[in-house]
Amino acid sequence: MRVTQATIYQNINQNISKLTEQLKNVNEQIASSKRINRPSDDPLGLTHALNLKEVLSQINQYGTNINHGQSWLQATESTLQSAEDLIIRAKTLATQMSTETYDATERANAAVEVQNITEQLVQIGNTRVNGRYIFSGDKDRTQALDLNLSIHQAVAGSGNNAAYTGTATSSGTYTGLYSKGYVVQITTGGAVGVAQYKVSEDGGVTWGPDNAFTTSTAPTNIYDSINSREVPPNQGAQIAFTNSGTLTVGDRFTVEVSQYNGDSDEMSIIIGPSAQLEINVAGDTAFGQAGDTANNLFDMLAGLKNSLQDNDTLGVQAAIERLRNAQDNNISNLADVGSRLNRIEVNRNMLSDLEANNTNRLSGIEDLDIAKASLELNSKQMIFQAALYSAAKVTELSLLNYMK
Amino acid sequence: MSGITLLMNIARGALLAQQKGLDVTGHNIANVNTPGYTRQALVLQSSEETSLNRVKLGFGVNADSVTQAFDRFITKSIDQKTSSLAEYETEKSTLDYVQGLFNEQTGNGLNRDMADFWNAWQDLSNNPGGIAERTALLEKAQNMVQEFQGIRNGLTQTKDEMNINLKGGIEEINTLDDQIAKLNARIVEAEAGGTKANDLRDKRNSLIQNLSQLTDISYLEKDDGALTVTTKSGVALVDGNLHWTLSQQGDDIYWNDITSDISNQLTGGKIGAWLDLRDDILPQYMANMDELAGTMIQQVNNLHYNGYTSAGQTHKYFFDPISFTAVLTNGTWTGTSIPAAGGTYASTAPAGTFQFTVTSASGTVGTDAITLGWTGPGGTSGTVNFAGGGGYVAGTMVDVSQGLQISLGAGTVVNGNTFSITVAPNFTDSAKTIALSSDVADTPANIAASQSNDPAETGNNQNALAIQALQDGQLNIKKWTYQNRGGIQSSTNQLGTMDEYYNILVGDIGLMDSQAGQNQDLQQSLINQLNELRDSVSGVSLDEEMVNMMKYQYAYIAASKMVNASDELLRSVLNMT
Repeated sequence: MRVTQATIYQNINQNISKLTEQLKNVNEQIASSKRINRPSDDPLGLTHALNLKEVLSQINQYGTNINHGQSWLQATESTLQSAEDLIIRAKTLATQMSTETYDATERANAAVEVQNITEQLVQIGNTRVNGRYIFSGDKDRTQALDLNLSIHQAVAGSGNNAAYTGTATSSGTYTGLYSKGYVVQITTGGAVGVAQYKVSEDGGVTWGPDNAFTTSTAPTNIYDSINSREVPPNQGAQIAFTNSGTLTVGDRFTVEVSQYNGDSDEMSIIIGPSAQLEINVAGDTAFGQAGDTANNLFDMLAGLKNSLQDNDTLGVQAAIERLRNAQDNNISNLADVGSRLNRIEVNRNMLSDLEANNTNRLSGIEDLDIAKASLELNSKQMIFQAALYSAAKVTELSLLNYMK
Repeated sequence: MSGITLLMNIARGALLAQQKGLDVTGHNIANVNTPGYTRQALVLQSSEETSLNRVKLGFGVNADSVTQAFDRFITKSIDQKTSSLAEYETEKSTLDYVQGLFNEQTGNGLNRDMADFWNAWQDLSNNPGGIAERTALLEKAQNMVQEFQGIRNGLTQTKDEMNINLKGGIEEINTLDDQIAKLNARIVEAEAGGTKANDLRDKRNSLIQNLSQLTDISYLEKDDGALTVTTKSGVALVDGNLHWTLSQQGDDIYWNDITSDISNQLTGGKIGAWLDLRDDILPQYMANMDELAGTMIQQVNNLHYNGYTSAGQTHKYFFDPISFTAVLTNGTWTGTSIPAAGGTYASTAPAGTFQFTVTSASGTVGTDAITLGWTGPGGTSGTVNFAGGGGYVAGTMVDVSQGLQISLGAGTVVNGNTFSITVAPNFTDSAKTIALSSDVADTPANIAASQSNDPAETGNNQNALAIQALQDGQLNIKKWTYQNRGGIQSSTNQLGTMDEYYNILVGDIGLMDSQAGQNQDLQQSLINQLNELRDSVSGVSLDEEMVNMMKYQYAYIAASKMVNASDELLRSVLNMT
């Protein structure tokens, strides 16, 4: 083929510019230490890399969540352990005082100590993490426990017939010693004043007799004649209904009287892809439901204190048995928290494995093999020099050099 | 004529011919670096012989003509490949820019912003009552919104730039057409005498090559030397000394000011690439970004709308809500009354089709009581009543469900007849218009993290958990494909998470860019080969010209010796007397 000067110069130009571009690419890869510097460098690889980056970002976030959950669970664990100590102290005290060797004065002194234990229990029950009460269910900005019993807002039952459009309001000054889970249930349907109701003090286990509303709107005293030693009937809690719509048989309204201000809701965090973990123990799980005399720790302590003040040995003995229940309950809560902490630890390890694994994969896709790239740079450099040398030699050749 | 005078004449002719040979060589050397220059060669011919005393004698040399070493086939191939190369080059450089818009290689793109957004929801779920977490979420959401808008606006600007480029390209075509037409006239004039207008042709060839860079063309040389140039699809550009102008009006390109768009007849070259980018490639990415943004808005809003704020309020939007379009299709409808859809379908209601059936007896709208039964998306159903006895005025909108309304026009309806209304979210421009709603933008407390209406449940994170779960939610998201310069717009459902959808989209652009790059390299190497072929025929070799120069130089010297010789002969003849 006939080769002209233009061809030679064009080839030199193109080859050198191609080599320069390759050198630039290798240099860019080495400088960024990334194999992929723009989507077109490896479109498929980039898509994978982006997916992996997102997974890594998620794993990182799970780590943050887990740290948060761990601090909650650890705070819960140590609080329950303190509660354990307090329960044991109360039980030891009750055991001592149940023997006939102590007299009324000593029992009265013991009653003061039981009051101290109660106060300490309230204090630890109000433990906060980052300003949030960990025993309040999901009412985490509400103080979990008060020292005194208070009448909580009346709540309409979730299974109520919607025919009643009025509102139920609780009020009154509670004078009792123990928590209550008052339930008002409609037994005869009709408007307020026509309908009849019955009342339970223990969350709906036992019921009082049917009653009619006395007036249509005035607050109606809902206490009734359940008579027992621990739950005297002189309470003073009231509930009033506004007259609007019709009450239906089976409609329920609850008024809790308790030290506990939170709710029973769980709080969950994300610890992995579609994996959630509950990080709280609600106060009513930890210290017993309102009105549940057999399990409510505060009721037990109040009962114990009362029996001690009354110098009632039988009452003190009964309290020992109940405190044993409370201890079992507390230990089972502790075990539950412990297993959740364990799960968190397992999960953390799994995530760190996953992170290492994904980081490796990302690096395999995205990162540059520096040794290989350096070799490539060297070889490109040599080729470039050779090309320059050969270009210089070829362009020297001309007939002109031999003409005079 | 004979004898010494003849010799003198032969020498004179030789001197002139070799002189001309040197001129041509000089012209070649002078143009060694001129692009498009075709090597010229002097055609020498021995003069007709004559008979002198039965001896046949030649009359020396004639410089017959100057020819071009021109290969029509290679030149045509180069023109075609030039078009393809220019097309891929333009596509590649634009896509290089577009993939830069996505900014993913630095790790600061939408991929990270979306991950941050989801993570912020998780942070909020860890502390649903926390103002800091709420504010951080709004910030991350704002970053994501801005990135969406940035990419989308970048795409729109790039698309707009294509029109500016087109305007310039069309001007250039017009100028080139004009020059080619003028050269046609000069070539026809110059070649009327039979000699080739070599340099004018070179000039015209290089104009043709410039024109090829802009768009695919076809050309044909007529007997008189004039070129007829058309686009590949046959739109006439130049014929002889005539040419037709193209003009751009908005997105349309007109030929000879006839107001009918011919842009589909311009393929290849820079213009072809600009049109493809403007009508297919860029709108496709815009549509897909809109689809992603729309899905994000819709999914987050649907959950957010039904959650509760810190104050226990509900029905708050997180993003500005998407509007719905309602399209009515008649099923069997034989009545004369025309049904119409209206109202504003709630943006958080499910998309789908409402099927209406006339369940009452046939009758006249307004006169008879008419009832339509309907079934809607999400298993909903109900009836719509149009009172008789003048109770309903034809054309009045009546509520159906979720803000959707219908009306019946004056006329009759027939029992059992059906029509349907399809409600679908309108995602057009979503990536451009995506914004935080005024509900939450300045009021972090209005973020609905809770699923309880009790404001005391400050720790309720159920809704935040539900929203963050969208990150891993497998959704059917429409993936658009634009073909035939926007003539075919089709979509298929792509199952995956929103993040995956985006990642694949970036991969698509990278793939398209790298393919354009490979095509460009291929065309470039083809052109290089053709150029070498062309140069091997038409290019100037300096060595060759040097040899030619020596050849003519020595011949010139020899011819001048002949003048000497004949001079001496003449002198000796003159001295004889």
